[in-house]
Amino acid sequence: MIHAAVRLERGDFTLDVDFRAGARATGVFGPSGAGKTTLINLIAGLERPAQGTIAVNGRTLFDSARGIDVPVERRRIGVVFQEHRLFPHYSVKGNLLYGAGRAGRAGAEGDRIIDLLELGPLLARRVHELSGGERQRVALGRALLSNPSLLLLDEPLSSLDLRLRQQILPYLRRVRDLIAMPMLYVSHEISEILQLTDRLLMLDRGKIAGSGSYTDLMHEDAALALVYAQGMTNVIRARVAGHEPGEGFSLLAIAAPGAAPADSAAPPREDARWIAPPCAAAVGAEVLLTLRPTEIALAAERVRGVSIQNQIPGVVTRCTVHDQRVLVTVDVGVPIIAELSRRGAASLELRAGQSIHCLIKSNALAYAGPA
Amino acid sequence: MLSAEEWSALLLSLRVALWSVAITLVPGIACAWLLARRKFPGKVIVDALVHLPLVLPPVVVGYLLLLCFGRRGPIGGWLYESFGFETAFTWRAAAIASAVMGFPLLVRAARLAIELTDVRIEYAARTLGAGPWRVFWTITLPLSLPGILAGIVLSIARGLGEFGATITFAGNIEGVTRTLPVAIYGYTQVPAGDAPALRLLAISVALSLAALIASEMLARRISRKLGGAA
Repeated sequence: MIHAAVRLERGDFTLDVDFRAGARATGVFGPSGAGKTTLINLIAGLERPAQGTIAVNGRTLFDSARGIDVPVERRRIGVVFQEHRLFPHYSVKGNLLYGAGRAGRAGAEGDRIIDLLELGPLLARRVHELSGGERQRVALGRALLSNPSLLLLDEPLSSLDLRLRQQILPYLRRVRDLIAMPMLYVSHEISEILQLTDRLLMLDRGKIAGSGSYTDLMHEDAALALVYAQGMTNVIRARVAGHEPGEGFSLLAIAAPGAAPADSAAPPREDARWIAPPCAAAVGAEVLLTLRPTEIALAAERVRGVSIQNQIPGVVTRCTVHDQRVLVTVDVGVPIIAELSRRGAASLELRAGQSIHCLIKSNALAYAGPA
Repeated sequence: MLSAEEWSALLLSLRVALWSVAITLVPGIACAWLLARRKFPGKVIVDALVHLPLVLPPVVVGYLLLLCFGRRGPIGGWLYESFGFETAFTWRAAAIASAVMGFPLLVRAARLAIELTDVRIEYAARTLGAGPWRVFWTITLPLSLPGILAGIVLSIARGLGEFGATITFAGNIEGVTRTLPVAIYGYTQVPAGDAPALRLLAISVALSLAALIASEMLARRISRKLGGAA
């Protein structure tokens, strides 16, 4: 649990937030300049708020009224920075063990983290011999080995290219699942956050613009506008229902958010199966899909004689206009957002509660990794 | 090859140079760290004071030292009254003179090296539980070491060449305070002093060249390191 109520003024920028975040991963989302990194620095103790309180798991780290300001090194907050910040004069092993003394996790627990992040083969290497992705993995391991009570990840993937990001995210998911600790994951890319968690804290110009689950937040205009401005992507959790290697596609069943893998349930209805590009995951495995809102077309009825493979029935729950574009939230079991032109939306006379079909080309579905 | 007198000048110079480094090393690095990493009132004044020996005529520095460390000076008087310890016109005076003259060079180089060490890496170390001391010993000092070493070499070279402050504060006593430059000056003042003066001159040139080359090599190492870390 994190509870922070802090205020900081710097030039013409003011950060003024009051929020709580839970025991698991929370995504901190906002455009650049929103104050995300400042917030991370305040919690870690690298910057000092003008006033307020910061508490982690009930332990007060900062309280301007009571004159409490626990120094950085005694806060026990692990930070993975945008740049790796590894120690260039230490080996990988030396970096990993730097914070592992006394209160840290040397020994068996440390070995478990090293295995989890597959750092074993890198231990003897020097930092300059590592690739960008390896460096961030070592930085993550180093933070975890110091046995923090909170992990702060400040855009840890932003210095990596897209391919490397997709390689690191599975490790972050493992950490999320196997090492129970509160985490704040900062990013200005919603799709990256959604691949880790759907609990969100949204920041805009130094203020909280919304907090809660992504699904709920997408019903709030301010939050929706913020996400839209940064480039929106639907992230959909699905279960592999079958493969058709001869035909070159895989079948996916959409899992409702939070639902257990539905192996005992009745087989999904035919129309709930999505046709997607072939994937390597086994039948029954959960995968994360990304789908851009502009890749979804809406139709009032099933369309005949069209090459588009997926015609997913759903119900319109919401329509909003942003910059001459219409964002339509459709519940297809999970909410997905489609982006239409105003003219296109007008031709359908969209309103909440209306039944609709989402037309999605199978190639518009991209795999973000295992769920 | 060298006469006893010349040998004693060379050995004395080396001894004085090593002692001057021993005196300045810790305060020099501490001063460099303060100037590089801390903001405090009066920083400009401290910075100016550190650089003063670089711009003052060496004779002035020597005279100031004589006033402070002489038997009737505030520090020298106290040392003499309390411990019977004489400073002025002993080899210690030569060491202090060359320490004071070399101090700014050491501080400048060490400060630059510390400033070039990424403070964000120090922050990362602190989030891992390292207090300021541990950060200094394990991160700041090792990463700035090549630059600090270059500063030490420069200040040794400066100490080996120290003349004005030495002759004013320590005098020209054979085997006690007659360092290489003082001895060379002495030989140029007497007939038939050319040969020994030239020999000592050659030694001075060799020592200074060696120091500069060593310093340059260390400077290259640091830039390579910083290039590799970026």
